[in-house]
Amino acid sequence: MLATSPVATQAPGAEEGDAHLLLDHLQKSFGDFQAVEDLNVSVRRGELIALLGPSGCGKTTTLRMIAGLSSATSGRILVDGREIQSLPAHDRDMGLVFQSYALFPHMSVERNVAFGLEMRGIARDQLKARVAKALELVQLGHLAQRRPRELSGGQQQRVALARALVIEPSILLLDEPLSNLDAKLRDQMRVEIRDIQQRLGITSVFVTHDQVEALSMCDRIAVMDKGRLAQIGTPQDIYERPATPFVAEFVGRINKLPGQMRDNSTITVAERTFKTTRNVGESGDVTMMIRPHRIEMVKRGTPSDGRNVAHGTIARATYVGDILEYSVELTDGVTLAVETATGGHSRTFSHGDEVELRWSPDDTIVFGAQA
Amino acid sequence: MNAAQAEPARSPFRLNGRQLVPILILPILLVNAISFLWPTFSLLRMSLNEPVAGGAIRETLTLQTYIDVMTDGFYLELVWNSIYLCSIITIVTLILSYPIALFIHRADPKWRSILTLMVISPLLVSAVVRTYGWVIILGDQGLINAFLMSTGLVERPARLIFNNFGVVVGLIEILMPYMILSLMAGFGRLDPRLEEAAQSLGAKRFTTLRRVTIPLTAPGIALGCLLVFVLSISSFVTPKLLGGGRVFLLATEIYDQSIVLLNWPLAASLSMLVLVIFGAALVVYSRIVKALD
Repeated sequence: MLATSPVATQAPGAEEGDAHLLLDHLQKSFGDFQAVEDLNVSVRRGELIALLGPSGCGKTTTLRMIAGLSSATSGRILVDGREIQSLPAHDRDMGLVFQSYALFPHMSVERNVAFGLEMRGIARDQLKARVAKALELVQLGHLAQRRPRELSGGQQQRVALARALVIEPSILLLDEPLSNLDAKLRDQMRVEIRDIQQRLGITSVFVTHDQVEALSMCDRIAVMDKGRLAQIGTPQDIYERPATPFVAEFVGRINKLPGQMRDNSTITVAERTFKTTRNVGESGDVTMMIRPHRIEMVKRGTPSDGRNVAHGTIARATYVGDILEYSVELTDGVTLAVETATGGHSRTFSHGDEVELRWSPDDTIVFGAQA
Repeated sequence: MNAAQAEPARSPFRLNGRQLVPILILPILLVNAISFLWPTFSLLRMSLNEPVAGGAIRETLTLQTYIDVMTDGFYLELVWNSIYLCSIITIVTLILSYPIALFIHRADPKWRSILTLMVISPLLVSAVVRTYGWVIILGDQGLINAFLMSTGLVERPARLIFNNFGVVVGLIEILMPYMILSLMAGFGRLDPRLEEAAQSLGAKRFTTLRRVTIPLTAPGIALGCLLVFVLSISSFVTPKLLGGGRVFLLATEIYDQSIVLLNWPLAASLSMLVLVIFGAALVVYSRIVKALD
């Protein structure tokens, strides 16, 4: 299934010419377990790319191989066309931000940030200036003399970022840097990291399991599933045109209904017929998928203007602040999740209301049923 | 005042946490008083008595034994020799134990308990037996000399025992478990991510060890050194057997004075001296720990 999908078979190495970082047939196994399998990713200069996937998908292992903290079983890692997979971590010139920040607890903030420069033998006065500049970049100049444990999570996160950036690495690697922060701070740091990354124009690899982070921060996303690359593309590509059912389900919520292809653009789902413009050569048993917020909910009897229509009853309505989550039971027991924005212009429904659901054939995604 | 007013009314027989503290520590205070404070005080009292020829003791209050100890070159050398040998033992034990402790700390959890058990297992055998083991290994007809002679490397047996070398070797082996366990107890702060962070910032292996690993494990190093130093300076059997009467240390001298020569006041004042050295070691230790924090 993965092998036949058009995106995953994108010719590896095709972009070798302009790639800043290139992962070429990268492979990592622990005994019998394949942690990373035949991974081909090309990162352009100045690009922020996300490695997105559930835990155990091999994204952190990949990052550790790039950083040199873990050796690849086979395959190549190239930076500016130069193979680096045999270099030790301390010669790779990568800035690494850990999930746990990994600040040296026995050193002040200033000494933490200075560490990488000391390792490079930077002269004292120049070192001081660069440390000060890096701390200024993350707005922590006033806390230079503090110990890491005296800082809040967000401040520690910034120190870790400054420590990684001050050495002016060729590539910045971020391993789930936001997962230890609370929701509000995470939103703020998301913007801040993206802002700094763009200002410095530094090529970055961002490992995350959070689709919102990946979608909102990154130029491109590489979705990984069980050690393999499931899809690589812009956030729009990933969300609107998922290459595999896994990507469709992992990135954002989605309804999943089993059906059969009648012809190239018609699906039957339990006696009901829907139109799709999204079928790529599937026939026979298929899985139909629709994003909950792409379904419009109206009172029965409104003209359908060529969209797919289904009738049902509200089984559950959940208010979550910015959206309302409905669970709609169709007449034959099939349940669809529907999301509508809360606010003045959209009508709200409650339990037991009879509704009509509509969605565009363009939003009707089809995958072969064996998935 | 306010705090007292805010206190809710309670039965007079109920105690709050703060009142409970002295009651809870009373048992250990009692044990300490009977088994440590009282004997120490008796020793102090004994050291102020005057020895009479033939092993008799005259009850008095004099500092004469202390003055004798302080002015006699033999005893000063004894103190110096003890501190010197035990410092060497401490440092070598640390150097030998550190890699072992680090290895166990980093081992797979299922191996870690087995390895820890292997470290502790020598403690199941009495130090006396282990010391005789060293006599067999280091003696003139021992394992090492037999090997050296058979290869023709030496013509006469090398002196490996009944000297400082033998005592140092024996005590190091006997004290290593304590050092390893102390080090491992202090490795809690050692997050492998920190060493990886150092490497990613350009630190080579040895620099990472020097700048990150050792500073982070310093509390364990300090604890282990204190423990081994104190245990080595107070150890008696091993120096006695492996020193063969030729190595003069405080502990062996105290034994000789009290059991052989029956000069109890002198033995007592030497014991007080050991206590002072312990106190000094403890002060140094707490200074170091405070500086590390």
